Amino acid sequence: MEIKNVTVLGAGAMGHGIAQVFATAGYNVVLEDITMEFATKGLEGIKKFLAGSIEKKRLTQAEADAIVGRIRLSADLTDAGANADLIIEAIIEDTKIKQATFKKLDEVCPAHTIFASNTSYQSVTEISSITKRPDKFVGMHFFNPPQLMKGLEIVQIDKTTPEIVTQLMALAKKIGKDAAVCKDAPGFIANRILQIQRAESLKLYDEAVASAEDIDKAFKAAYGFRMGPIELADMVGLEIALKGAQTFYDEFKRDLFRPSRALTMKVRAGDFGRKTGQGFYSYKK
Amino acid sequence: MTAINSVLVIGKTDQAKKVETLFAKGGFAASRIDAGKGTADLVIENVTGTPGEKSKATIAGAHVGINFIFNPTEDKCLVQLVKELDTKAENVQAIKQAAEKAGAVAVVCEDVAGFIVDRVIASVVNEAAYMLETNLASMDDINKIPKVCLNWPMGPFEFADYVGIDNIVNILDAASKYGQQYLPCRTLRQMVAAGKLGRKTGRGFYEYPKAV
Repeated sequence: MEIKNVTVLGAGAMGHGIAQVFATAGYNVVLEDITMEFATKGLEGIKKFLAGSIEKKRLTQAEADAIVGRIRLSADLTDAGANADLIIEAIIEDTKIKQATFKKLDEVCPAHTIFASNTSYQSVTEISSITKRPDKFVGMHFFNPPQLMKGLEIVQIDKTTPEIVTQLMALAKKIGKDAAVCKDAPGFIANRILQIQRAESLKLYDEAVASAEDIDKAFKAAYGFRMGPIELADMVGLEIALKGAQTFYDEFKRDLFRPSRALTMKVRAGDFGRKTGQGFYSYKK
Repeated sequence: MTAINSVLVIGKTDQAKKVETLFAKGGFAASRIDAGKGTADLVIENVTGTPGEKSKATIAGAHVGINFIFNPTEDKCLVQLVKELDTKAENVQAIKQAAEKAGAVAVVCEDVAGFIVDRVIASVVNEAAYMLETNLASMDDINKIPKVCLNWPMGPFEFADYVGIDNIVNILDAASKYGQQYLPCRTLRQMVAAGKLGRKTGRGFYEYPKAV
């Protein structure tokens, strides 16, 4: 069945960004959150982004109006799921809460509705297990900000049918994304590769092989990375980086993924990076 | 601190020629001989260009390990200064300043397998090859995703082919003394055995026309 109506759950940075991507590509979008206030805040984010695009002459006012016109807000799962061909869930990173949400949707959505989770670190297989449609269940992992990042990971669980994957790959093309298919494993492709770079770089730091500054400088100079791995961790937030590291280590039980000592200590000290003014670098004025 | 005005490069590899050019462009009295001995404020020898291998820099009669990585796409160079047990901080500092004057980015590190960048890249390649081995995703998809999702300059398999599969395996083998997590995966070993070493042999994860 052709996908025309897309419902995005969660109007945060990822959710409203994904909603904007689909609305821009001409889909009818429902943007749902637990309150209308949150949903409205998401739409404000979209309008702000579009206003920026108009300013840069990448978009006309009429086009922006049409995009916004294709988005309907909702704070009710039954209403949001009733006509959906595709659900993309971008709510809190908690398997139990995601499961409860999909369980409810399983009852209110049409039989053909495809379910997708935008989770970064939870198991798509585990989230899907609560539904009666694991054959129509995938991960669709967008990157922040979804409006700008071209990459998309389509996570195929063991029960996802190949037809659904083929259909979503075609859909990805229609919304301007360069998608890859991967199986359900921690961090999928991108975050797992990033984790190796980060963990190995922090190991060099832990072992006093080089300073954070020199490690970052080395990656940028030698191979043209836009940011070094350690300054990137500071930007992402060290508490998030540590949680990610711990997730990999818990799942794989391999030494390569053992969380860095320095990272652990900084998080224990409350130094989360840029957001607190102190991480591996100092950001205090 | 010894002031560096003259630089002598001993070696005939392409890398040795690049190092000479780097310092010449930086305004140093730079020269190069294919082999033998000579004197200058800074003498750099054993310049192989093999990733993970260090050259020997001599300054004021003392030695510092040195490794050059010339950026594949931009006119940039990374100089990794490798400290040894008796390396004097002032000598490291003098070479660092000279390298920076020559327009390179200079960093200081301990003498470990793969130094800073290539050790990390080797681990990334090893994991990517392991992901491929375990059928997580296709080769093209694993290679593409870091570029389109993380803004990486190359995908892991392009890195592998660029650095050389044999060099990657050598760095991993050397790092394996620190822990088993560095043991090269089956795919990488098989590629070395088959002579699929990357760009230099025309075949690695990808194939390259002869011109490369």
